[in-house]
Amino acid sequence: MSLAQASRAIRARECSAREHTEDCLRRIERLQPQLGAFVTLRADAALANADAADHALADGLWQGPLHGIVMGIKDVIDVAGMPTLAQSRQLRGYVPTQHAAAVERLMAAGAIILGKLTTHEFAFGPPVQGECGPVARNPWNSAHFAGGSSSGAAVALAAGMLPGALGSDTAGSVRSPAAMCGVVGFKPGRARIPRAGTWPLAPSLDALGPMARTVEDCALLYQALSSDSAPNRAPIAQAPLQLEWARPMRIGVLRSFFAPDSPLSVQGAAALEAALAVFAALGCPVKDVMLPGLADWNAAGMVILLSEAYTLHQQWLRNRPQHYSKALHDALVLGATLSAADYVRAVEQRQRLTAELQAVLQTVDVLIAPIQAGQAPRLEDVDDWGFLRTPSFGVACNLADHPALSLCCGFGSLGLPLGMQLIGRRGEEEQLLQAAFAYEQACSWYLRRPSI
Amino acid sequence: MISDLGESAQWLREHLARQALSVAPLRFAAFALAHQRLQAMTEHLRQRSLPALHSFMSLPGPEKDD
Repeated sequence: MSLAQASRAIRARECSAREHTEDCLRRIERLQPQLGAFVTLRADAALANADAADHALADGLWQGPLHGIVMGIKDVIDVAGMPTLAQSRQLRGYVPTQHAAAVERLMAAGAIILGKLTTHEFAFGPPVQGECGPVARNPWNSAHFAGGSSSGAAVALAAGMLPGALGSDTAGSVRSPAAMCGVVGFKPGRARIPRAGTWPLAPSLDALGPMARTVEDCALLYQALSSDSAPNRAPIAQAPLQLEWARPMRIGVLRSFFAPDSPLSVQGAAALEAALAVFAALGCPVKDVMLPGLADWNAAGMVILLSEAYTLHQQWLRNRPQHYSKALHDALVLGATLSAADYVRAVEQRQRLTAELQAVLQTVDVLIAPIQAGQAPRLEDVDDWGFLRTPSFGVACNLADHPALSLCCGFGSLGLPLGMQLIGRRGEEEQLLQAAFAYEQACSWYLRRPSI
Repeated sequence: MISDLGESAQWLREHLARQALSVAPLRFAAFALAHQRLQAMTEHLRQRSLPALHSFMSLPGPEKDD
């Protein structure tokens, strides 16, 4: 059942919030040992909150589309009373007493927080099995990578453990795992969802974003997350986001990301071409556009990310380096080799690239680009230094602070999902969701489920 | 393998030591290679910033008497 379907069923009292929560818990109990999506699970508290949601509904109080809906939160985002480990020994023993601002918004909209979801250490390291949490495994084939770093969220959604989750995205960390697991990941503009109470990775690139199995579900989560309602206040009445577009949109194809120096696979490219044909069949004018290639975006993105992450971790790297995994330790130390001039040049480059992206988005409504090279690799093939070796398709929209969304656009020869990225204009999150919704409804990839 | 990286590796070790940082010996070769990749990125950025720098440098400067 999708989030929207569960929401309608709870509101119509065809299903109680407790039944919905118990359904999720049963699936989690069965699948967690093989998939490792959760780091912390609070079943009793979630059931108590579900009962409270049912009682409120019986009294005529409906908080909105998330009323009684179970959610998971990436474990770099604080939930009061639950440990935030960020998959690191550095944070052992840290139990926040306040919710992150985004979590408060979800709870104000009626959501029930069931637990914390697996990530990579401080949302950056490679997947590491250890005392701070499991490695999340792809539900389509558990020998394969689930993407990162909002890996647990994508796994839990694809496996039907949860209908919605909150992730964070610094260089594609919401969109990439969503694409690898065949769900929807949405990174809105940075200012849309407050980041207070979230462990930063690179503050000038970080954004929070909802993840779900459908575009409609992502839109419902986004609306709650981007609202100004606060806990203990009456929710602000909002009209649902309009997901049907007024007219077919002008689609630009970001060809420079398909170029020969791109890691895009043959299967990934074929799935994208097929998706473009779908947009054309929907009546969209489709044209190629050119922007600087991946090397330009990644040079700026990696220098900014490594500089900012090193700055945040500098003291711990000196005083207690042994509390990091070796892989993350070395990646963070690499930031110490960068100079002020390197950072300034990266910021200049960011400004130039952003201006070029914005100019292109004056000629089309939505851009389409890859988000992953192809199907998820096997876990043992994930490289500690992969973020430097293989360019990211995601970081461009973190640099430019444009809304971007990834969704499934087919399946590869191994039966694993293939994804694509849609990029919108700043401030036009709703239009971006409309374009994604039109494609999703035309193709229905979202109806496929892993056989687990 | 580390000695193959020569002066660059030596500079890297000293640079990290000055900042009270270090990388485990068994991981240093991979770290040095990652550093080379990062240096290629910073060089890319330097090349991209040259036209802007030249434009800035060619602006008329203040008169000597100013």
